Amino acid sequence: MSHQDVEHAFHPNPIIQIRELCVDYITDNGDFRAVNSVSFDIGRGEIFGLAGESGCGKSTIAFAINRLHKPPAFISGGQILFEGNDLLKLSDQVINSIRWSEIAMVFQSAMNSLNPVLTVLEQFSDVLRHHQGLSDEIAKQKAEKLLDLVNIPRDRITEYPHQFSGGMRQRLVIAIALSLNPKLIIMDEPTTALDVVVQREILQQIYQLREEFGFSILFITHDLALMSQLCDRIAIMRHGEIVEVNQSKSIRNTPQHAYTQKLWASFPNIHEGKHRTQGAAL
Amino acid sequence: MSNPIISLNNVVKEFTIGGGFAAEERFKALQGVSFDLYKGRTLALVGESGCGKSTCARLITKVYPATSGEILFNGHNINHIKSRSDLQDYRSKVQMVFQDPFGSLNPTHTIAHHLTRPLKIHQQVSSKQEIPSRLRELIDLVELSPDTLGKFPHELSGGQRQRVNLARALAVGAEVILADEPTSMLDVSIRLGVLNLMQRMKKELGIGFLYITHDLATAHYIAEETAVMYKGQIVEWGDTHAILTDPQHPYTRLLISAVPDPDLPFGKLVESEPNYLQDSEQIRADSAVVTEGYEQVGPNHFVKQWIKAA
Repeated sequence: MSHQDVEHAFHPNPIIQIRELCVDYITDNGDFRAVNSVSFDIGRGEIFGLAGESGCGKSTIAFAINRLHKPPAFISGGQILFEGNDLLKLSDQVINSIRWSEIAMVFQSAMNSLNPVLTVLEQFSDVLRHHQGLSDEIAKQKAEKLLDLVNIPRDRITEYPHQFSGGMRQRLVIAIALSLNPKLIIMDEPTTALDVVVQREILQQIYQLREEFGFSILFITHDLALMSQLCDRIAIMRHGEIVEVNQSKSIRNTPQHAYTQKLWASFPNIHEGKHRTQGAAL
Repeated sequence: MSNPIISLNNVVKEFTIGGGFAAEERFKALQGVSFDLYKGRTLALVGESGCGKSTCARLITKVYPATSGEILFNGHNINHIKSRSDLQDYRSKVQMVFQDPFGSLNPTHTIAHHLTRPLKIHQQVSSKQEIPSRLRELIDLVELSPDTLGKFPHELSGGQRQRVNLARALAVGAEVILADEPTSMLDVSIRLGVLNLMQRMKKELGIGFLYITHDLATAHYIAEETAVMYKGQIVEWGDTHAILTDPQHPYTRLLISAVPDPDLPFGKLVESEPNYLQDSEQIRADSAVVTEGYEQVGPNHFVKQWIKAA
């Protein structure tokens, strides 16, 4: 990265600072470096996007932040400072209490993140009981309020995950992620498995909730168009390294790195020319 | 325009749900669908999951029969294709390519094996000696290097595997390829390559494509005509460009508005459409009502009538 790019990677008021992070996978042919000395900040209340092709290391970073990576992956170097504390140095007990209450995660497949044999209410109470020691009664009241937030009718609280559509399940996961007022939510391709209309509904909701509660989001996707719509700043990753970081607008309008330009050229945009004609009409 | 290769006329498909000890219910997956596929052209069938687009492809490939309505292949009803040799002939002409390039190739066999078998089964070669040259030809056609033939599926990327699937469809002499979300599991950066290959197959080999997708952007890239489907009905159909630039049906408009526009940040969207969730819910309810009449709004642009749901 050139000096100028590094500048855009940082934020004056960060919630989390990733510094020189390296993650390796142990293989038969020696270690494979999946994330190579990656540094960036996510600001308070900021939506930070991480874009790249599959296998570029973006999900590995998402897992490493929470220390949820599993062998053969291991963090071989760097720091992850969450509000100044290095998460990599914390005991398992401390990181356990930080997970979900401070840093929540939403994955691509909502069905796999929900327990199929528990009702929605039980999944909420599980989180609230474990982290906040709430009684069942209070947990239920809180769960109902959270359902209101994501526009799911309260009376469906006694139903099981399979009774909900894919989009609703993802909204349930988001509601559970919000249940402990986390400061950072990591979203790893949260809408990739969903239809465009449902995707738009969920993202609009995420955006509005962010406005309301002010949490930060690390948003991971390979869809650059979507990313530049939603995120404040975007980092483009390739082969485990960040090749370009900048404000969404600059990534969209003046991409510097050849790879970013190639990514933009690789998908058709049906809205092309619309803004121009609208401008002309005005 | 020449005669359609495949033509669907008011096709209805009902499924039975439940049974056994549970109550039996009838579910109408297709509520009277009609469209035509032509040589050297692509029709995109666009809609959300569960709207019935894949059911159309399965009916055309005779996986199961239509409840009512007719499906014609070169003017003949496919229900009358019954004998083994006729079926084999039909299936060699009408091929399918699936979404999952990992699941549609056998991991224990080489690519050469995958392409040789259809050649033999459908008697596309007169002698064994012809096979190597034909394989070479097929692999060239889909822009893969000749050494791919000796490789196993796990050695190939998703895009390369999807090219093998297309080569396999060509091997049996397909005239129509039903492509069910062929690029949605591929990375954006290799999607375009596969689409360009389909484009070439269409132009140079005159293959007719049914491109099933939920992605309007790729449909716009590859298809001359588009049919927008919702809950078993085609709500708007005709020239792709006309539909995208001048959508009439509220569901088509909803679908287009949901395609990410990189130049329109969410901050502005939230201001201009604050009640998106409620609005889209209403549009879905309205569009789900089955209606009969339709209107012609352009030279090749039709829209189904819709009414407000109660």
